[in-house]
Amino acid sequence: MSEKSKLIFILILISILILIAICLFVFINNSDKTNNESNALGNTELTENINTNYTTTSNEVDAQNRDKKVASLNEKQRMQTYFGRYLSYIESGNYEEAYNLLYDGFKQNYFPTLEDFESYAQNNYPSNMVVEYTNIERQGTIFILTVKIRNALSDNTQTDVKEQQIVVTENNVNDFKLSFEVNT
Amino acid sequence: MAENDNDNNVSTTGADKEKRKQDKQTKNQNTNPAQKAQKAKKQMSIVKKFIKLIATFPVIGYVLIAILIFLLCWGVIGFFTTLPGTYIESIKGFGQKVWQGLIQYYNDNMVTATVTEKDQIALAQKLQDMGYDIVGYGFADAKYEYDDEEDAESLDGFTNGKITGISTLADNRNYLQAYIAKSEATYFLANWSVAGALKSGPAGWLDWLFGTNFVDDSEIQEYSEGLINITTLSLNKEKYDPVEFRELQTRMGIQVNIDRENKIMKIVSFRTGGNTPYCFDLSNWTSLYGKPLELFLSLHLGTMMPDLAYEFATEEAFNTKVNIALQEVQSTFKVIYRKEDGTEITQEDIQRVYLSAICNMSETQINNFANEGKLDDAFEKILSSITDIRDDYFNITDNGTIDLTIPSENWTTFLGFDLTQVEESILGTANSFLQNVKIIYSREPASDYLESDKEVELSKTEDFHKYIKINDIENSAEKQVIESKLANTILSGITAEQLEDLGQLILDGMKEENVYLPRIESITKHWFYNTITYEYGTAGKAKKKIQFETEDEESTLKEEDLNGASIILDTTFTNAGGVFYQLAEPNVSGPNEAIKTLFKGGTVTIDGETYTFPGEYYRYDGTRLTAMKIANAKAYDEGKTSYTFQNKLIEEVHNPNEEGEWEIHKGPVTFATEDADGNKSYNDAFTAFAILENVHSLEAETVYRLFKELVIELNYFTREDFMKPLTQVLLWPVERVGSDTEEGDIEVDEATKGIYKETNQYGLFLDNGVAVNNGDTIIAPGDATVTSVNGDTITLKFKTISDGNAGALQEKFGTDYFEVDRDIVLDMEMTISGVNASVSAGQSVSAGSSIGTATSDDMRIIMYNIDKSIVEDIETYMYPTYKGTSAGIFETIGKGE
Repeated sequence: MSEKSKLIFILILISILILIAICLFVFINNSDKTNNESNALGNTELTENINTNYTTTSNEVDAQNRDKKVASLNEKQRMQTYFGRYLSYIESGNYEEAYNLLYDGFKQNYFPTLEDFESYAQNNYPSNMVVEYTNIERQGTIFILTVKIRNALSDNTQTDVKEQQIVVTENNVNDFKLSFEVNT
Repeated sequence: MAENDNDNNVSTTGADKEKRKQDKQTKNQNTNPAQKAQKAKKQMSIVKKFIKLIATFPVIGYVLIAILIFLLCWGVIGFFTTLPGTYIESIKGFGQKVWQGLIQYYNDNMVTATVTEKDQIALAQKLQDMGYDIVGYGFADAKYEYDDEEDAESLDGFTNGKITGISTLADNRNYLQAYIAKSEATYFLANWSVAGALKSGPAGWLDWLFGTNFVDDSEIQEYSEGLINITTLSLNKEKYDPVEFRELQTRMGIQVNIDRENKIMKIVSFRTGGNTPYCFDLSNWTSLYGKPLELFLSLHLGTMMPDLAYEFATEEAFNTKVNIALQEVQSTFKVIYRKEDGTEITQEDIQRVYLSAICNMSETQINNFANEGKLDDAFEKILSSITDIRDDYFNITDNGTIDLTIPSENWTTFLGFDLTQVEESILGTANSFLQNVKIIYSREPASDYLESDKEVELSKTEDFHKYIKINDIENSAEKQVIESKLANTILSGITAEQLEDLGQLILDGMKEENVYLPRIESITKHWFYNTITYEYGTAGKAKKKIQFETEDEESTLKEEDLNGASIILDTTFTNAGGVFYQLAEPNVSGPNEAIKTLFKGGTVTIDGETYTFPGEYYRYDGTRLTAMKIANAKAYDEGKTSYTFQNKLIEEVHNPNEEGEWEIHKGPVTFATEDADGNKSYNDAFTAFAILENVHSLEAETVYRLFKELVIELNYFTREDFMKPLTQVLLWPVERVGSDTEEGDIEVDEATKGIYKETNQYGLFLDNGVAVNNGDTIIAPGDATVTSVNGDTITLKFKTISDGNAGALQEKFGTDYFEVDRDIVLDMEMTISGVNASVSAGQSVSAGSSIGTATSDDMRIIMYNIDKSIVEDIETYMYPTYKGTSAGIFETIGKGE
């Protein structure tokens, strides 16, 4: 092989090696990029569609957790929770459950029958209620709540509403009785 | 003699005038030299007398001179003080504007220049009202307006003063101005500036001096304050010479404007002869890469090191640019009319109503085109064919007669069109020919063989074109006809003019128009991320639904005219070389070395540019004593012999390095505060972070997340320090928001715009037509029992979160939150109004299951605590979710042709 041919051969070989090196460099560089964190917006994806096939918890489990949750509250919060529960029963039409939360003496005096209570509730409580607690007093084992009950769907939350007094006695967590100022 | 007599009888009026004229002349003429001299002599005598008087009584002279001097001074002072608003302030203001303009041209500090003292005072006052003394916390020096109470000024001013003025504290750094400017820069365009050209190196200098094209304009623009950097114009995938872009803008009439109030980028092209701007919503797009004001405040108050926050705001290393390229594409659109209740009326339906109500076409005639898929073509042809036509053409029937010999001056014309011609043109064949019509087309005089006065009627019988008269809106009776027809269609409620404008809009949509679509090519100098590069593919077509808005005062389709309805343009973009669409979320990494070096100190080189940060800064503690020490120390560092503090000039500068009452040193960045016993607390820092955390916007949430990652990475905090109870455990009740459903999705940012609260009403409202549409599926936000269904109102009582849902929540929220409290919403209730319920009282529902469909009213959501008190902030528990930009700005159709 002549000197000239050798030189050409060497030049071609060097060019090929350079090309291989460039390809390797580019390949390695791109591999590094793919190892970086993805998602430009970080962890901004929030829950969208929780699987609707999950089974809801049973009422028994709810009851246990309810006891635990109410027990963790302070006195004021518990008394307010009890009154809230009473109103929830009325809203959902469970008048008997609400009736059973009333003092026996109070029932005898004002609502001798369930029907009397049901009639009173339908005429005196809005179908969707929200409560504003303005005061709470404790007198021994009795708690007196001062509340304003408003129609949640009202167009004006500033409408003047009469304050009412609610008396609550707690025997144990979630074991309570109550009475209230009756509208005559 | 007679003439003389006549002269005697001449009216004296003329003579008087003549006389008066003559008198004037006489007076002038009488001013001869002798008389002049005498007059002068007379005047001189008066002066001499006066002089003589002064000489006799010199006091008079002194008094007179004094009065003159006093009057002169008074006049000058009065000029400069009594009329400042008119002259001096105007001159001063003009001078300032000129100077600012020069600075802007040189530096392009366009954004800083827009921050007024009023803006800074407002921010300072807001900080003070939050409990931060702006002097003690190193924001600025302040002037106060004190209360009228006795000794008010001697009280601690920041607790009882209204800030009336601010100035820089300790040095020339205006922290408030910088923070406001850099947050506002998110919605500014980056511009060319002299300083930018010079910073680009010698090539930039040559470009500036000689108009050469060595440096890309977009590179020079990177030195300006604005975040949005329009780079190159891409046509057919080939980039123009970037420096020609400006010439191209001029030639093609492209104008890019930012509407900062609405966070919209408008790109207008005048090339097509119109001025239709295309608007792009910047919120949740480019604004994700900006720096909100709350970030600076959080950093400033979290570290108590204003200089750290200032460098973060102003250093070139954090001068973020969102580099946007424009692609010229061709667009056409179809019009969709969305009624207030969310019902969408397609273009075809609009065309049918138009052709029926205005063009008086029957359903059969319309269907002839529609059934062949040629309704669009026919619509265009018909509207372009409408012209004045003689009224007897409209009345021709089969076997009828038409006399073409009636001279034109006897014609009555009305607007109409040739239906037969349209059919032939569009369908290739016509169904509407009138059969056997006798056409009288000529009358010839009698021939020589007939009586001369007998005329021969020449006619032929053949098929004739069908012409239809349209209802002209300009004619009040015919306009009534249109509107009475409209009342019985799906477009009832719109006016005849609006129908006409809709028709015109449909025609506009058929014409191909050049549009410039923006896309992000890269993000550079982001404060957290390394350079981000986007990757794009091309598609033959891309589609997007765009809200139509017009600025044409004459249009009847302005937003306020639509009574809650809206017009959507279902737009198709095409380009011979393909339309760019984003392939995937870009790969990102961070925190970058620049931000780490800012906190830790040192030197870093990024993209060939070197930055040095001290890593140590003076630390304020909220007291004015420390603020004063720092002012003294900074004056000492700069070699000054005096400084201003609390508007007082202090002419003694102490060495802060010497032990004593003025001793203070810079320290490394820290977020901890120590009490007297050396116990460290981070409460102040977390309070500061809450400023950012409590901004309910996607931008702020994104920035806060990155900021947390940064301080954790830099070992100032652990991840556990930021963990808190998860409260967002409820799903947004409108299924379509942020989700790909069969009906399509409502984009999250669109949905949030439709959420509002009403004064004096409980709960959140969802605007029907924006955040929710009539017929949308409504899902239970959480596992619940339906306690009541009253009309369109459903009340739910939530249960314990099930195992499955708790697992899903934990997986999604990961390490940001503690383990889900299963009882967090137990026994809480929610009332949702505006729903046609598909459930009944007593039924159990699981999270995400359908409970009904939306009505046409706005939806209302009220949430109650377990004691039936109102939950003020429902957003704590649920808010529309964000899906990310993986869907891209466009949905694509097919691949490149």
